Amino acid sequence: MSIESREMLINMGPQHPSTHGVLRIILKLNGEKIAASEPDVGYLHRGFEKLAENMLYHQFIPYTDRLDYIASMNNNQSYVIAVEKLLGIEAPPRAQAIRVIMSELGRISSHLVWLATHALDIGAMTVFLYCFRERETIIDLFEETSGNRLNYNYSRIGGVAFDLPEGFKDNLRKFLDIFPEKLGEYHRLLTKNRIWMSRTKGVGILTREQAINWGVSGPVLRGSGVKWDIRKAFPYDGYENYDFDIPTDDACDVYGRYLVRMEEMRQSRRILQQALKHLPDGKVILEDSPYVSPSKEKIMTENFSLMKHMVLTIKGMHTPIATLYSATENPKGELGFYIVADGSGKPYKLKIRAPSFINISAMPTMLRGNYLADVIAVIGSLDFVFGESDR
Amino acid sequence: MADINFFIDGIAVSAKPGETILQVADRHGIYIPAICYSDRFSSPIGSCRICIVVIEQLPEEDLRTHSATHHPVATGKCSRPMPSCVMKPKEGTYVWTNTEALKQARADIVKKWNRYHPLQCGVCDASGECELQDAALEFNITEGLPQDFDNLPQKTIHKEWPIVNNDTNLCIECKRCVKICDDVMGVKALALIKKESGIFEIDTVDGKPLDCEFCNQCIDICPTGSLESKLFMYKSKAWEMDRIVSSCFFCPAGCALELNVKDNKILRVTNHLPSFNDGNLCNLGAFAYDMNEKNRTVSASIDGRETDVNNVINKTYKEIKRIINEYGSDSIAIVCDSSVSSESMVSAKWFADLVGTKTLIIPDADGILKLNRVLKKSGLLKQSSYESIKNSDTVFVIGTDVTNSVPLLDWFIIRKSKSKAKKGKLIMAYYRESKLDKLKPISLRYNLGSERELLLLLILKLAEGAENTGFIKKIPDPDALIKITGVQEETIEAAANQIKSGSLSIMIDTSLLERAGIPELISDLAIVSGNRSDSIEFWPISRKANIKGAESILSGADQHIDKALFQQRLSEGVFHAIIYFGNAIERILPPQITAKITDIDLFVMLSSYKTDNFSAKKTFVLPVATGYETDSHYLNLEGRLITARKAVNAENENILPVQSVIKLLAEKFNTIMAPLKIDSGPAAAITEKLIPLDYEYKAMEEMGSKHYPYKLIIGHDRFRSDVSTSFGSGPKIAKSVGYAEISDRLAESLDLKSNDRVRIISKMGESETVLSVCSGLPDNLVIVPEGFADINPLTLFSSDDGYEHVNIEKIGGGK
Ligand code: SF4
Ligand code: SF4
Ligand code: SF4
Ligand code: FES
Repeated sequence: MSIESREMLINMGPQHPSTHGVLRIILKLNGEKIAASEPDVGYLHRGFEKLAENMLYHQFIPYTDRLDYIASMNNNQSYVIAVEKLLGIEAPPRAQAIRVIMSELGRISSHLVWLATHALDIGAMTVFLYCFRERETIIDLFEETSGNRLNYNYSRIGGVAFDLPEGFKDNLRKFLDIFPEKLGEYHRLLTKNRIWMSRTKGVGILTREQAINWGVSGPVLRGSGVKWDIRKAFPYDGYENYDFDIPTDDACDVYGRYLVRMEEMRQSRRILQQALKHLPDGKVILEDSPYVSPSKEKIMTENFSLMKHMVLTIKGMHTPIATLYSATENPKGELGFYIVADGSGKPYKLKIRAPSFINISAMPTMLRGNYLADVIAVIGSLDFVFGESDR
Repeated sequence: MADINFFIDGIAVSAKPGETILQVADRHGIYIPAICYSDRFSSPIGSCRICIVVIEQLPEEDLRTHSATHHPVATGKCSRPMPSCVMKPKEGTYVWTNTEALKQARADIVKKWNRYHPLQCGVCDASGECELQDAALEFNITEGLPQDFDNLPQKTIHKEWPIVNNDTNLCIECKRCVKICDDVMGVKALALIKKESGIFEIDTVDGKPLDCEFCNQCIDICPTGSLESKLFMYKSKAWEMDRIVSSCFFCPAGCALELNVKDNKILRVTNHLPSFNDGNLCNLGAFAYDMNEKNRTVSASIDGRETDVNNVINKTYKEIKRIINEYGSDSIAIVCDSSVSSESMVSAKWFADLVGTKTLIIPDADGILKLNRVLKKSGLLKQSSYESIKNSDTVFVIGTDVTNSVPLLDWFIIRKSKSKAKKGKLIMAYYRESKLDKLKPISLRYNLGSERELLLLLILKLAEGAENTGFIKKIPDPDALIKITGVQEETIEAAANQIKSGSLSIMIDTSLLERAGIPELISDLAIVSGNRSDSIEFWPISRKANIKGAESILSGADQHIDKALFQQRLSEGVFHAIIYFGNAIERILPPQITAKITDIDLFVMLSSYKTDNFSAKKTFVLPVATGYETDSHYLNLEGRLITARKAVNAENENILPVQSVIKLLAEKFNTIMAPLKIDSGPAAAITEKLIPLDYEYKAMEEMGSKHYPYKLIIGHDRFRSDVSTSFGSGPKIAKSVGYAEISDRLAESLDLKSNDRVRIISKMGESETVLSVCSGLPDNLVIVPEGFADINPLTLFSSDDGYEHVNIEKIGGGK
């Protein structure tokens, strides 16, 4: 009997529960070892960037919900900030604080889904259940605020759609009070767990240099030891006023990225506590601005407000003729919007820098030399979402 | 004059002489808001003051050290705000367009407009394209002026006006409507009028319900929802419609327009395109758009019974084959209307070649072809251009009202007279009062039928001396001519002097050109005017949209025969089959001809519209698409190929473009139709040597009699009804009845009043209609329009002379 040894091509996905959506990876295997791999994305392409060219700026907000749909609040915020920068306006302080609250809650919620599915993929079922329990509380908070449980469409150019509902602060406080204990629970289940460590340590290495060269961002970048966070580097919505740390890890592996995200949840809680404490009073959206529709009450009683509202909804606002890139630190990494404005109510071009897309592109580097079973662990540690990657 | 150099917002610019600051800014891409201004007007209105700027005159020494970043507020030496649409720049001044004070002043203006403006953008038709709405956002209005609720001004809503709905509550008194109606359309129907209560409102000049040309221009140019079309109101929001850039095909001007389409229906016509018609349209272009939907032929039929298109095509093929076998190809006549597209005409000609017939008739093209033949001989044949009308020193109009044939030319003439330069003079030779008389032209109001005499008189005056008039055989006695024409000698003298003063545009009715001698006289007149071929333009005026297309197709064809020959052959029984491309043949050919058609073997009609009471022994009908349902082409008066772009789908799949029908038919003949080639008109042949043409004058005999003491002519009034457009609702509302017009004096002598029912009798028959009494008409005329269901004047005509002797009598003694 002779054994033939040659490389084998294997298709993983796109219909596979552990590829977190519709990812297809073409794996070249040498035995069980990965010789090369090629991620094939685009199965969820909906042409958002082209669609954006045919709609008014504010009409695109609900589309951003459908980018990283695990963190819709963050996307809304990121997009409206880009447009606000284009127009040279800033949301009122209360609106900014509310957007910070929503985006940090979004970060925790997104990381909880990451942890749940990541652990589940590697075989830890319990964690999944616990994480989804806490995420439910956050989603309830979002629902109270925006009326929706997944696609919130809550931020507006110049503020947010509505003020916080009654009792929101108390509910949030309650959550923040119990959350450290829950976080400890997850740590106890995984951080020192031998199986967990052996499945994640030394797996999916992305060195500091590789991380920078691939342009990865977010926890993946910080998991390779780079201390980079847009909230600190280019603060927006008043992040400069909050006290928080940027966790990093030098392990450059799946475990390192795990630790970073775990710590980020703690830091987010810190921010939330400060935001609650210093939440300013006042308007939640700009008034008398040429970019913001007047309130319903004004529209119904003042002819000039009605006129402005009509033009804003039919033709859209007058933008400056400019190009602009603006990015925020989303749970998955740097979500950026590149807008070419031609002065009309619709973007001439709108390009989205989706962190998931760029993080996926570093995957072949991480996988080379690892075992087939590690693919699952690496995928989990990259935490991508195809709504965003494929757009 | 030298250019004027100055600065706008610190940018160095230069103005051409006569330019206003706004125009200079616009040319340099600097934005200054403007509402009442439009470059379609001959002069600015200057009423809205949104375009205000401040002007700063720096002392000489400062000028030298000036830097472009200097800010006016710093110097404090600015003028008070001035409207930039009116102000001309001065050398070396600094114009500032957007200082804080100006922003505030503009916002204050908008606030004033808004003060009592109704809260109705939600239902207002203008919403989405309203400039007041836009201004509220642009100047970011955040507060209103105090309102006095006890004395809210109640302004008039003119619901009683036809077609135009005027809600003066929405008006911002910019006077754009007043200006366009007067300055561009030359109608002057509207004015801003002070009411008893002291409030100003847009109303008709005479205070009566609007009775104008209904051209839509005021509606189209109104920045707000104040003026709206009743035909469009509440049908759609502005942003829900597709705007399809197309062309009008109701007359040979070929104006550019936008068809506003929603759910496969044309809902209105707008025009904001830069084009040779400057955005202007007449009532047909603007309001006849729904003629696409009414009275249509929607299925193929044989002798009135509906059947399948292929069946008709099959039968047509068989019948034609049989007729060719029995009587030869020349027994087939192809008749084509001159208002159909070039596609139809080329198809008609192609089909004539296919069946091998020598008979192709485009009836209304006879006049233009005659003129071409004559001009070719005299060396004056060339293609005229719209641009040259603007520059010509004299426009000489004869035998046509222009306004009701090709309104575009009417606007050009009006624009000439309104423009500052006042270049060029109009000579209006017409038998009755017309709109252009308002421009105070040299008016040659001749007796109908004496056109030849009038032209002769002018030639004799211009030629001055027998040696120059050798081409006129038997020079008639001028005094006798003057008597026949009924025009004062001094007026003729004045006209002759004007004609020789420089370049000349001659506009002449094509039906006049069909008459013997007229083309030669026109050519001779042009030559004795002292012009050369490059300073003379001929404009054969017809209301048929594709008269130039017909000219272009027929000038190379050897098959064409004129109406008279066609009639002769028809009565000789030469024809056994007629294939007709067009609509309502009985309204295009005189009854002597159409009566004969009913006797022939086969009549095939490729039509878009239903024709009532018309049939031959066998009548086949094939439905074809209108210009709104398929891309089609026309040659306009300039010889420019214009495209009428498809806007809607035809009602059903039986309705095909005409070339597709012919293609199907060709397949039966085992022939594949070549792709259509549509060219522009005949090339200009500028010749150095101009040759006067011989002309022999024969005095015409008066044929009137005791029984028929009046002359009937076909008139076209300002509503310009036509066969197809009379199906459109707009023209119908403007004018629903084909009134017979007579002069007030004649009415008095016959004891007739407006709205009496009358009978018009000629030796051909009689016809009934309603009377309208007008002033400014000769006393022996009865004028009846074409294109109305109740009366078809063609049925009363016995000859081609352009008029018919008739009598008129009241029906039923009483009212
Ligand atoms: S005219 Fe303009 S501002 Fe007035 S109701 Fe109509 S759309 Fe609104
Ligand atoms: S429809 Fe034409 S003619 Fe009538 S008022 Fe308006 S602009 Fe004047
Ligand atoms: S009706 Fe319209 S165009 Fe005329 S003055 Fe008023 S707002 Fe201006
Ligand atoms: S645009 Fe100049 S005054 Fe109206």
